[in-house]
Amino acid sequence: MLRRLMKHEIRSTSRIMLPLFGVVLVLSLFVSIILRSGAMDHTTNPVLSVFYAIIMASYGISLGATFIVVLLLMINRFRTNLLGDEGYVMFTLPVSVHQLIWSKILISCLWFVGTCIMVGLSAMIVAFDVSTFAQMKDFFVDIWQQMNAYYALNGTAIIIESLLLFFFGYVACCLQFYSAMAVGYSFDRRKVLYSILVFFGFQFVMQMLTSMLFFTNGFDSWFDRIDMSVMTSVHTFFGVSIFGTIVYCAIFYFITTYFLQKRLNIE
Amino acid sequence: MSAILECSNLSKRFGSVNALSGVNLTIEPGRIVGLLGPNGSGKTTLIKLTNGLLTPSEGEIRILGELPGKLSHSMVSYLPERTSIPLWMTVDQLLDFYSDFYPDFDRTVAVGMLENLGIRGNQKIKEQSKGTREKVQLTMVMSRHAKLYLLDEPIGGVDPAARDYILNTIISNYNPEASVIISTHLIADVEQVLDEVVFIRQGAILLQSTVDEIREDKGKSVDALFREVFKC
Repeated sequence: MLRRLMKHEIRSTSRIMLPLFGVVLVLSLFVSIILRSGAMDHTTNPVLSVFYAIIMASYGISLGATFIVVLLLMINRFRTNLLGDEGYVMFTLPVSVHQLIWSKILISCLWFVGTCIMVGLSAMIVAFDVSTFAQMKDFFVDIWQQMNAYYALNGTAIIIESLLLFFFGYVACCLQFYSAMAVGYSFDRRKVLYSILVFFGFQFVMQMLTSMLFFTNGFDSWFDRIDMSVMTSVHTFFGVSIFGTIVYCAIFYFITTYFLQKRLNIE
Repeated sequence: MSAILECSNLSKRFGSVNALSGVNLTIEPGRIVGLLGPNGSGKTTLIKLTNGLLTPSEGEIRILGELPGKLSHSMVSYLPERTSIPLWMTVDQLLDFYSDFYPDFDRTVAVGMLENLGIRGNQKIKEQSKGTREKVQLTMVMSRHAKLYLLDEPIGGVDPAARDYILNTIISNYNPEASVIISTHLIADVEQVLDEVVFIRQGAILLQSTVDEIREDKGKSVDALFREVFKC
């Protein structure tokens, strides 16, 4: 059933994301043509100059906007599909609340990754110069070799740890929004206002707890007492961060499921 | 055969307000039941509890022996009081949606009904009128071979011709082994299709009786009895 939920989630969200990706690609092509032809530098026509400037600005804005749209879409899909009128249909499907939440999280992650790939693709189109990519590749390979040579870092492990931290970090972000809305929409009135207040309330509490945990003397001295190599300390940093993020996810996941199961209040 | 719906000492409170108090109710299979009461009497609360959209404050509710949840949802076909089908979908996408989630959804029946109504499959639901959306939603709900149909105010806010269509759809599509619960305060319109009625006031069941018993014992129509019981 999760697969089916995801299928319909993709159907809904692709209506917005695919055209947006299309716009980014078309603007990338325009920018690439303008840059490669040198038309922007050589033109004396003021109208064309303005046109080129607009294309360049639109391209920059569209790249940033794509990430913002992914975030807004993640919030809006949860609100309209589960807490709005559509909730009557969604919460009476033969699926669990867990499946409903995971379908939203996974598809939002998918679009986030898709946006990262799209931005990379767009950069390639704009550069359209094989030597640039060759230089970039050499640059990263060089850094990689330096790190391995000087610090004996396990590169594969670091990549996996970074990806895990990135994934759980995004899931935690989704769940913080979801839990705030699940709580806010359990009220009879001013649901949006309560959701915003709860979100910032959660933010405050989590920051307080994180600060208390990481910046107290106790934690520092515990950390200092452990004699670690550079490699071990890097892995420890990732390990602690991933664990902390999973705990963060678990807290918000519990709040979200509790309120959707026990305190659901669709108008 | 076991009861389709069984409420035992079911109560629901919203703050200090008792929306339902100590409801005991049993609905047997093969019945079309009118859940009748004035606005705010607890009809929608009872239906939401049956669908698991609300959690009881006390007591329990069972659908074919199951508490509301994933399993009961596969046996209950629910028409909410407001249009809640996703508006961004086309009618064909909505048919896919129901086919994907409900093994008992009969797509052929649904397509036939939509053709009779002159509704195109490629039309977006948000482009339809309110009345057409309601008909599409009812088509989806009644095209399932469910054990229990819960219809919350299916004829509220539609024109008389649409009312006839809706009531005909309910009668012609329902499975004799299933039960239909119709919540409404428009008694005269639904009386013709009902086997049984449940009167509800201020969250308590006042009466549960067959329509024939009311006519024979009290010598009144359900509409007349309703007006007498709920006289302001």
